[in-house]
Amino acid sequence: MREYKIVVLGAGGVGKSALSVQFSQGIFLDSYDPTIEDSYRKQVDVDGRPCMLEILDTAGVEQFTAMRELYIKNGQGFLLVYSVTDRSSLLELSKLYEQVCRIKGTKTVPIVLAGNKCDLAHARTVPFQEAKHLAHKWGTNSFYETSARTGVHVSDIFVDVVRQIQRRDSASSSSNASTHSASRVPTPTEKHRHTHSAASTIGGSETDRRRSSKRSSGKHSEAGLSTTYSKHKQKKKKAGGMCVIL
Amino acid sequence: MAAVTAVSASQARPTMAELAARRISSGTHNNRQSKRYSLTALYVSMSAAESDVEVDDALARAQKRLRDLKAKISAQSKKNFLLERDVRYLDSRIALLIQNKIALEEQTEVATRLEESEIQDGSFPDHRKLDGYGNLFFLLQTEPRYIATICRLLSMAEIDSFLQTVMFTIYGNQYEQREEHLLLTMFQSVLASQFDTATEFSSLLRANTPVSRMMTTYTRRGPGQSYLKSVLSEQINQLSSQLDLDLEINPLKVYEGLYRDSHNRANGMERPVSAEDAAANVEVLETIRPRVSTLLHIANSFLSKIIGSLESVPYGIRWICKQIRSLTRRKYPSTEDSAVCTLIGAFFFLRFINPAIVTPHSYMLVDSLPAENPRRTLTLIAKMLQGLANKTTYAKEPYMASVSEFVDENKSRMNIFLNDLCDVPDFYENLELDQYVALSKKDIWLSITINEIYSMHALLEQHLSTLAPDKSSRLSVILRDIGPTPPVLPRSENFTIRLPLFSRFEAQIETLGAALDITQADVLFMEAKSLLIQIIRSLPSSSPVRARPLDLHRVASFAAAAPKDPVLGKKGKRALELLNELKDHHSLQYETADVMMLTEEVEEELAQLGSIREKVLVELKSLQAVFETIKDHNEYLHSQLETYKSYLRNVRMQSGPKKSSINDRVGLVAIHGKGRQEPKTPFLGPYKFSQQALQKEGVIVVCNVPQNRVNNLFFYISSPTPGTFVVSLNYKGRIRGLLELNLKLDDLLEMIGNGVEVLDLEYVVVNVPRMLEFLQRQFSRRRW
Repeated sequence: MREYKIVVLGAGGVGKSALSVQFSQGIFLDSYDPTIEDSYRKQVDVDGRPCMLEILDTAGVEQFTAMRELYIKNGQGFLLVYSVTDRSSLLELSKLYEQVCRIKGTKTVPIVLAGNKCDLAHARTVPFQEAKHLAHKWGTNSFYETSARTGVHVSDIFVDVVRQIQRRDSASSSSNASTHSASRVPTPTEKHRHTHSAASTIGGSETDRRRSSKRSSGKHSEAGLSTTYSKHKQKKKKAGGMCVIL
Repeated sequence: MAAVTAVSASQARPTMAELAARRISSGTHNNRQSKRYSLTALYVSMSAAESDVEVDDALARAQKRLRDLKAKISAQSKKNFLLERDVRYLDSRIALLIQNKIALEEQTEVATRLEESEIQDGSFPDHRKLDGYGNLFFLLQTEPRYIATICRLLSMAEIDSFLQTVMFTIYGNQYEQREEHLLLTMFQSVLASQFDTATEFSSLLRANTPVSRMMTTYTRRGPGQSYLKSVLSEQINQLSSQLDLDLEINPLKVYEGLYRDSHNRANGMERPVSAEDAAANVEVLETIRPRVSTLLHIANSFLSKIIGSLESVPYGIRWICKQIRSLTRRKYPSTEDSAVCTLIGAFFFLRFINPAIVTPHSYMLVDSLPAENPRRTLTLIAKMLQGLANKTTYAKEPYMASVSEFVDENKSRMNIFLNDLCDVPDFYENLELDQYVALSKKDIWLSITINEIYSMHALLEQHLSTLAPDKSSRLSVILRDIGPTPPVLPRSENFTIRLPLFSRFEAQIETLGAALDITQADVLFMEAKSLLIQIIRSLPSSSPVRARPLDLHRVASFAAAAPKDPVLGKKGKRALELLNELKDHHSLQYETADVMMLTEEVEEELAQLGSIREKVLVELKSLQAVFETIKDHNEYLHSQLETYKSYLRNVRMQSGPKKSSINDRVGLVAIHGKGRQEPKTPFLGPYKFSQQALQKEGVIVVCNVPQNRVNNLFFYISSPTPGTFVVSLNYKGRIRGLLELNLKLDDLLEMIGNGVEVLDLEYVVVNVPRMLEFLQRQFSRRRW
């Protein structure tokens, strides 16, 4: 059975552990217990193939960031988690994404962007489109809003990253190109992948699937928030310190 | 220097707490006397600087060495902070560049930016402005609320350079009581507002915010660093040397380890296995059992060492714990004590102790990243301590339940420790006194770079409406007088100045009496005491006049008659005068009392100085060790920077021989003659572009110049080095340009990365991505 090393990264308190534990044990952790470094293992079927997922759940507290480099070196796929109730947690991910790219030496790393706590509608501060835009900037469609509490899209994010690892491996073995080359061009499969087309075969249960389809219909309603998004796009910068008026 | 004075003062006099205790214990001391005690403290603290210069005994020399060392540590840790920032900067820039697959020459450009030498000393040209800034920084230093407010308004991206100025410049004297107390007052205000804005209890102190960055930066200053070293370093180093000690207790990992042994494979072990199967395997269980007890033993010894270190935890860190406790109790009065302890633990263990255990190399406790086995053991220890501090009931990882007795057995011990941490006195009384001292001193100054001044000025200007809505407030008045913020200087032109601090709003305190309601006699008493102590200290211990009981008149006369030492002679004469004046000031019955009291206090002080010397020597030794580690860390950071640079070089080598040759350079022109040296890399341009051309390219999106004059507008664009561009906007017929813009490739990338799409240049508004694309197209075609 093939094993997949997945690293969960993100700011403190966004729910990295809650997602990992919900996925691997089916339990929702509702008390806060800051993680230093935890690991979980879970066997799932992805597209009919059994896969063993080794999940490394990392510390969000910034004082532990010295370990990150090592985690990223050893990981094959990455879940970048923020909380839809905390804008700064999304902003923190850009730096993390850059760090992953730097250490892996390529832009095409298997990565999924996850906006957790989407059940907390009243506390939401990050519009769906804003994160979607960030994912696009990273050149990926693999973005989900999740809820470790209700289980929405929890298995999808793990399955998505597994699929990306599989695709990358098969692409590199067929083209015989090094996956670590900085100049690697995305394979056609990567370019044309549709994140949401995959039927969720894992987690398997009927309820699970119903939940996620309900969720994706809910997603469309959030398109209304795109006004906020365009406002963000209009962000202006004064030339300030770079510029000398003569 | 301010630091110097107060440091020696704190050794030369009992602490305020001791004074207070003495006051209470000796009921015979009257009111006036108690005032004298605190006043002596003040007086000694003010004159300590001079007296140390004049007295040259073993204590004075030790104190001087201690002061020098403290100043060195403060300066060195600022340097380290700067280096760490450079490493972070380079790291993020490299990432940006890789992400955008930019030409390699530009990556080199980023690296060379960091190769410039250390910032030079200089002096500020404009005296009036210098005075203005002296006022401004005095205000910022003495009224921490301004800094506290800015701290809340900043983003994580802006916080580093701000914290640099706050912690290493404005409050940079890490061992000076007054600056430390002001810094802590600032923390209190920031923490309080974080509690005010927190929506729920569980969200407190969790996220990474400017506040948490601030607290981390604080814990990593000298005192926090030496505490970590004293409490953790021995055990961590011992564990790190035991390379073969494998204490893994995760059944899955243990199973993997056993599987690697081919003998076991033959016996029917398979993989991969589920967590349950691994945990049920007999061999796995047998391997784990002894490890669990070893782990418990080690974790307990760490905990005992930490709990036993209560008294050596730096005051500021304990005081922050105290604030967390009282803020929690105030905002959530019904919170159980154990939940309050969890929050204290979230600061003390999660943000201070545990990171040092997990990554001891980045806290300078060991030389390099520990090997795999010790690293795992340290991680497990930190996890156990974290579980204990957080009093976790549910083990996220099932195997951690095997060490749950660590939590159960130590719970109450831990709560007691966390509460004890908070038991420190407040410093407000001291602070008030210190502030008087500061006002009466004429030589407080900061060593600060011009850019630190300008950046702080810019921040204040930007947030002035929030900071000081009242136009007549001191801050507004000072800022108005200084004028608008000058642009930040290029890194190479930045320099350090000595900025004298003073307040133009408060008259300097010339006479202490006015400030503290004391009589002339009190002042005489103090001066006499201080002078007599100086005299006695400068006499050899064998001198007959040093014999007890002291006869102060005899001491003074002896010194006054010293023929070979004019300084001592002068002091002796002055002491005699003072003793006589004291006599004149009182009726006869008080005189004897005063002289007796004076004798008593001088003797007491001298006795104390003896034991202080021992303490100073001990402190000197431990700080020496701190200084060594900080220096080591400095070397480590330098090597890290080197690694980054060689990384860039490697990338360049791999990319093959297509490097542009110097001979290919086109149009080497120097513009504006601003003393630019001939660049080593080819200088491209300037090239001329009309306004319309750029508008057509989509580079200019809005033009604010009237239609009939647009045709007179044109641009010169040049590239002095790869990746840097100078854009100047010109108007036909005018010799000088309207505006000049320096653009760095990575700045443009960063703007794009931050979602900034347009750049406002007053006359025109530029589309940033189009601009980048245009510049790259233009300049790559013309070859570097």
